[in-house]
Amino acid sequence: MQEISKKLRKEALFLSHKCKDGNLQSVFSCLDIVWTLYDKIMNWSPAKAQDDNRDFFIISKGQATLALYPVLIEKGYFQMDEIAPQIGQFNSRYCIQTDLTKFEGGVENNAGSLGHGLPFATGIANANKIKKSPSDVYVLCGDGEFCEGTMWEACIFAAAKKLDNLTVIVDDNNSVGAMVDMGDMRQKLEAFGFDVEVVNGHDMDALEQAFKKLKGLKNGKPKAVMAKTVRGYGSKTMMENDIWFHKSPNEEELELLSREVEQS
Amino acid sequence: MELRYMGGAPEKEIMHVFTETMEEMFHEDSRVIYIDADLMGSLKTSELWHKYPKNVFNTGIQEANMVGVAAGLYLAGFKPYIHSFSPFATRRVFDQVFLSVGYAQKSVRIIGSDAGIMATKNGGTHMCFEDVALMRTVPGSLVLEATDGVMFKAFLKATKDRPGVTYIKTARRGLPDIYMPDEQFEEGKGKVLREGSDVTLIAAGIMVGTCLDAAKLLADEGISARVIDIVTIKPIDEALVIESAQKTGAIVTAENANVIGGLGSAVCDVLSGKYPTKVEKVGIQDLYGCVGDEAFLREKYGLTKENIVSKVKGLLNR
Repeated sequence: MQEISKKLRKEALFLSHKCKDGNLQSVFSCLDIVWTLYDKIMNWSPAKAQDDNRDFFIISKGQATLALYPVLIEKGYFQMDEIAPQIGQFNSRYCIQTDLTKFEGGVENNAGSLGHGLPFATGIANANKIKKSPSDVYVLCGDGEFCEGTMWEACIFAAAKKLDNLTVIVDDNNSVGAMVDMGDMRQKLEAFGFDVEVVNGHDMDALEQAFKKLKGLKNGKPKAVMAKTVRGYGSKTMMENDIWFHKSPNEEELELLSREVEQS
Repeated sequence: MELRYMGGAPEKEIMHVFTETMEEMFHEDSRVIYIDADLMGSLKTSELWHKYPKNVFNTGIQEANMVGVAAGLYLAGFKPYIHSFSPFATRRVFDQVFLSVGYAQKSVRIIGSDAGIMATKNGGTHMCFEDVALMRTVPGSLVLEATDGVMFKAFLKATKDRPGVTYIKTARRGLPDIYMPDEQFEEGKGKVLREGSDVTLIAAGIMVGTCLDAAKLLADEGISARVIDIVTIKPIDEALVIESAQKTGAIVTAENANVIGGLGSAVCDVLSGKYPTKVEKVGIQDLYGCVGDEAFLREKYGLTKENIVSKVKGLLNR
C-alpha cells in the first residue's frame, strides 16, 4: 500500500478512537478513492472551497465521513489539532456523519440518511450545466445504498439531462450481497445511460486513469466508476471481522490496527 | 400500582426483547413476518433472520419498498412487522405508509428504533422528533413510545391483528424497567403511576421514569404530583386526561419528540374542547437533533426532571 494510504488510514483510526465511534470498514474501503479525487482529479483546494466553479465532492454514503476528514487535513483545509479534541464531543461539528450546517465550505452535504447525496449531486451538476460552469461533481455512494429508490430516480434524471459533468462512484465493497442480490450493477448503470468504468478501488493509478478517461468523454452521458473495494482494506483484523462495520478502537486496538496498516 | 422502577440498566434490553418476542410469535402464528431494511445488525436480529427464513426478510437499504412489500404480504394473508430507525421508518416513507398501508386498509406494524434523542451520536440525520406528529395524522393509527421492555413486548403481541398503521417508537437499549413483568396494557388506556393533587405529569416513553423522578423532587418541596404514563399517544385516554385536569387543575406533559404535534398537543386537543386547563409542554421545542449522549441531549432539550420541576412551579406560580 502506498505511504499516503497508510497515513490516511492511521489518521482515520485515530479520529475514530478520539470520537469513540465510527464505521471504519466503510472508511477503509473508500479512502483511496477520496484521496485520488482530491489529489489528482478535482479542481479543489482550500482557497477554492467556496469558489462557485470548484469541483464538488458529495459524500452520499455518510457512514464513511471519517474518510473525508483525513483527506481534508492532508490537503491543509482542516487541522488534526483542531479536529482530534473536538470530534464526537457534544454539539461538535465533527462526528461520524457530516453536518453541513456547521461548516462554511469543505463539507458540501449532510450525510447520514442514505439515498440523499446522489439526487443532491445531480441537482448541482444540472445547475452547473445551466450556468455553463466548468465544475464537475463527484458523488461517493455505497453499493448497498443503490437499494434506495431515490438513487435510481436520480440516475434517470442525470441521463435525461445529459449530465456528463456528474461522476457517480460506487464503493463496491459487496455490502449489498449480504442483504439482496443486486445482479449486474454495471449493466444496470449502462442501461440507465451511464458511461461505466470498473476498476480496483484500491489502485490509485487505475482510479486516476478511469476518472481522467471519463472526464474526457464530453458526450452527454453521466459517468460512473464502479470501484471494486474491500471492507476494512489495509487491516487484516477489520477485513476478517464485520464487527468493525460500526466500532471504534480503544487504546489497545488503535495500536494493533495501526500496526496492521503500517505493515500492509 | 406496583412498579419496579429503580433507574439504571434494564434486566433485558429492548433489542433482546424484540428478538425473543418475535420468536415466540413465529411459533404461535406462522403468518407473522418481520422485515428489516438492513438494520438487523443494529437490532441484533441477524440470527433470527438465519433461523427463520420463512418469517424474516431483509430488503436491503430500501425503506420505502419495505413498506410496499409489507402491504403486499398483508394482502396475501401475512402479518408484517417492519423495522428501521425511526426517521427512516416514518419520515422517509410517510407517503407509502399513508397510502399503501393506511388508506389501502392494510395492517402493518412499524417499529421505529433509536427514537428521538436515543439516536445519540448519529446526530441530526438520525434524530427524529417529528415521528409522533406525522404518524398521528394517519387516520386510525396507533402511536406509542415504549416505556420499557414489558410494555414493548405487550404491544408487539397485542397489535398482531390490529388493522391499519401501528407505530411503535422505542430506544434500542438503556430503557429502565418500570413495569412488573405481568403488567397488562390496553390501547387508549393510560396508567396512573403515582397519585397527586396539585399537578399532573403526563408522559410517554423515556420521559415516564423522568416524571417519576420529578414527582419525588416536587414532593420534597411540598407539591403533590400525579404521574401518568399515557401508554398510547394515539388513541389517547381522553377520560384520564380530563379527570386529571379536573382533579389537579394543572398539567405538564413530557415527551421525547417535537412538542408540535406530539403528546403535549394531543393532550391540549382533548382539553381545549372539553375542559380548558393550563398545560406546559416539556419536549423538543421545534429544534433539529445534534450529536451527544443521552445525558447531554436531555440537558440540551430540557428532558430532565429539573426542567419538569421548574415548569410545574412556573405553572403553579410557586
